[in-house]
Amino acid sequence: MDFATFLIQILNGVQYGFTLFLVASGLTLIFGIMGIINLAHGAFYMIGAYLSFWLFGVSNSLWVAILLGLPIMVVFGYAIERLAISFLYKRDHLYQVLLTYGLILILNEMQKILWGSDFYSVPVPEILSASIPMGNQEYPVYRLFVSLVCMIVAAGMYVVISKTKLGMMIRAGATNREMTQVLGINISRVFAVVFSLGAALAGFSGMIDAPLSSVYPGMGDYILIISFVVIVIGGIGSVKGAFVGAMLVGLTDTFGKVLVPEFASMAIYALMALVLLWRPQGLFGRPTT
Amino acid sequence: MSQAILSTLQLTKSFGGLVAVDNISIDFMESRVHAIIGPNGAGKTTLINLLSGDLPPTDGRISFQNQDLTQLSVHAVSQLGVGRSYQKTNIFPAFTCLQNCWLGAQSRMSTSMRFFRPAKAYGEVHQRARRAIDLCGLNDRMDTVASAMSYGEQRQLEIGMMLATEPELLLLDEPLAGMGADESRKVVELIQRLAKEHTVILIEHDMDAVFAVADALTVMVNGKVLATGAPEEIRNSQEVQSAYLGSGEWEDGE
Amino acid sequence: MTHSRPLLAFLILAVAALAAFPLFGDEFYQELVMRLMIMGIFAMSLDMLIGFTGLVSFGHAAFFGLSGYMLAIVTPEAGPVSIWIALPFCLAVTALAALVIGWFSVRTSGIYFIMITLAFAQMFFYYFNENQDLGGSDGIFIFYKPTIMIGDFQLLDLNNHYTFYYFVLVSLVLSYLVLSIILKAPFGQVIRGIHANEARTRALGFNTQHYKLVSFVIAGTLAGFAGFLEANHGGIMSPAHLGWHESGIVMMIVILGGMGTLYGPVLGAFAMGFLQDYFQELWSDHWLLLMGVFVIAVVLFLPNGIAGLFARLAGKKEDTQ
Repeated sequence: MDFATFLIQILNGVQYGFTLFLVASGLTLIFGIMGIINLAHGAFYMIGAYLSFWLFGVSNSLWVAILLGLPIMVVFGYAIERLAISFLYKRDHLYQVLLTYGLILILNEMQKILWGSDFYSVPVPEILSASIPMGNQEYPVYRLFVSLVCMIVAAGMYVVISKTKLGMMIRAGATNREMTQVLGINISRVFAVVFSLGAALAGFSGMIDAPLSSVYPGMGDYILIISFVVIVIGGIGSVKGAFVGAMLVGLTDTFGKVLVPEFASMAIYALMALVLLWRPQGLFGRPTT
Repeated sequence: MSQAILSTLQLTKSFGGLVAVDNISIDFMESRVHAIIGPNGAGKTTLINLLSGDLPPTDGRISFQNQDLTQLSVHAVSQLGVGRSYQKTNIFPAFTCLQNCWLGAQSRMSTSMRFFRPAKAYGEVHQRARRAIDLCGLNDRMDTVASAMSYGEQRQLEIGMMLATEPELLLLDEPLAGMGADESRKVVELIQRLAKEHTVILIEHDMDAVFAVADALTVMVNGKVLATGAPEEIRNSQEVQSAYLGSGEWEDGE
Repeated sequence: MTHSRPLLAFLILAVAALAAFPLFGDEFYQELVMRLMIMGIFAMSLDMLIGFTGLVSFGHAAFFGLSGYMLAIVTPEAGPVSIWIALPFCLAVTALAALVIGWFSVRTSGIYFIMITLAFAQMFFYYFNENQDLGGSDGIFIFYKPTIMIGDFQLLDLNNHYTFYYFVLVSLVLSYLVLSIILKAPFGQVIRGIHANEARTRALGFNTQHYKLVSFVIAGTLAGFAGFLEANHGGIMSPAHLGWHESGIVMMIVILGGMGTLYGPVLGAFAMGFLQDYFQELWSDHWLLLMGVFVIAVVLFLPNGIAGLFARLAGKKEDTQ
């Protein structure tokens, strides 16, 4: 592999890793803080992508689409939390899995009702449509842009979580939910905020990713499974773990496709199995009793 | 002269920076009741957890009847003949008393990887479970669902489950926790009965009970052993009194 | 699991009804009932994990589909294979897969276990989906049902519609009986203990990891048996059979029927089959949306399933011991 190809794979792997991080971090926080396993999280990514497509069709600008789409995602996340997720707080994981599975069925079908089963695409914005030459290949500027934006979002998350009051409550809740409640912090408000933000993050990821791949039914299912792998590798409840896990998965998947194409899709599961052999609770997870 | 059935040697457990059990070396004598007392946070439950295999030690060794218990897991420790009851009642609430004791009794078969004969047909298991129920005084509650029993009866069952494994050494973690006077008396009698055939290591805060049953006392403070000896010595010890008086617990007999 | 008199009567009647069905039901419905009986076996195997051992596996379809693919692989293009080779082969491969996946999975618990079983099942899904030699996303055909012969003498002809129907029915009853026996045996007591309070079961002297693993392998192998039957019945095996929607549906069936009772999942399979039919009639393009609403409704309003409903109606606490 020549250097240019190698660099391109790294950039692709990192960009994919950032995408996964935005989705997985919401999922891991929702589980860590609220104790809820939310299978429908992948659907938020899909909804973001379709919002991109739809709002772009209306406004002819990806920026406007994202600007309008974000608040919609937040409100949507909040609605789902109030209307469905809040019934799951004291329930067994089994029922959480089933209820959110039912939610996936509903959301997937609603997407089909609204937008049909065709594959759609969202064009890359003009100013970012150039490509940077690398060796004898070219690398799309838009991909770099996506990585940059995600990096800023990740940095923002870091600041919020480690430096703000909300972040402190999030960290407290992630470490000890019962104690946080006992301390009188309005836990249902924290839950609603966490869930909505998680949904918005996943949706945002779907929105900026839309120009990079097709917008198609069931795209949420795929990213959900990968997010699970990310979280298992990184450790549930750990944002740091989600980041490291996402980067590992992103790079493994990308290099896997290039180096062992016949087994490419199995590469990340092999990675997961390896991590589990060594640390069953994930790289940054708390040991399971 | 009875010999030590279980010995700890420089046993230590730390959680990050906190040293919960600090360099503890104790010999627990066979067929004796050895009580461990001390203020809250002294490390008593951590010590029991180390002995039962619930926690791995950071340093030091545990030996039981000349076997090294140090790195063994919970189930292996149980198979060697060390039984444990819990401070927070840890039963099977939906099972009857008999069913609660069944698993402990069954664990003494050479293996439970048996798939064909119904479990009920194993007479030896049935007998063992019945004996445990008899020992802990729950004969007339045998077919009662555990969650329907009183708290005191559940604490008796807590011990009964352990007895079904026919242990030689009993680790009792605050068996009298949350009990009133009547119930406490019943459990004290139970412990006295058990002491005839078993070695008992007991954590308790109820001083009346402790002095009624204990042959030896160890006082723990801040993870270390403050004093070990016969109950009267400990009771009269200046050192022990001031350690307890400091936390105000000695006076209450709690 | 002691069966109360009314329950026993119900079960016997149900089996009798199933046995009599081919005599007056039309062929289309016989096909449907066969599929539902197979799903019943599949669901019982999952109930062993979820309802009796307390292991929520979200990747159970992997074993179902894997076994079916193995039958396709071992059936030559020219003619049928002997069942004496095919069935042990399918079950052995499935058991081995369950052993490997189980070994990794039971080291974890709770949420990790759910996600890991899902992820491993997906790995299998992608393998078959991308393997063009095995038909890729279109799947693979099983052209011939296995023969059941002793020497030159044919014991059973699975190509005969009625023979196959009763073969499936007997398989269902046998699976139920075998699971009942296992669950009444000492092994069954341990896994019930693990479900009720794993920590205490460990403290009582059991290496719970071993028991969970064995339970996982038994459940996986039985799912493989169901997959073998399905491959015979449908004649085709596709990656969807291993997909997580399949795992989700069978989990739903277990809950709908009532977990922790062996007959519940079979009831659930039948209920689900008819519901699916009904929803498809109501809204053929988007019946999955109705199904999604139904799933949520069951979680919120009928968490103990149909069996739980029966128990409540009978006015006594469900005897799950």
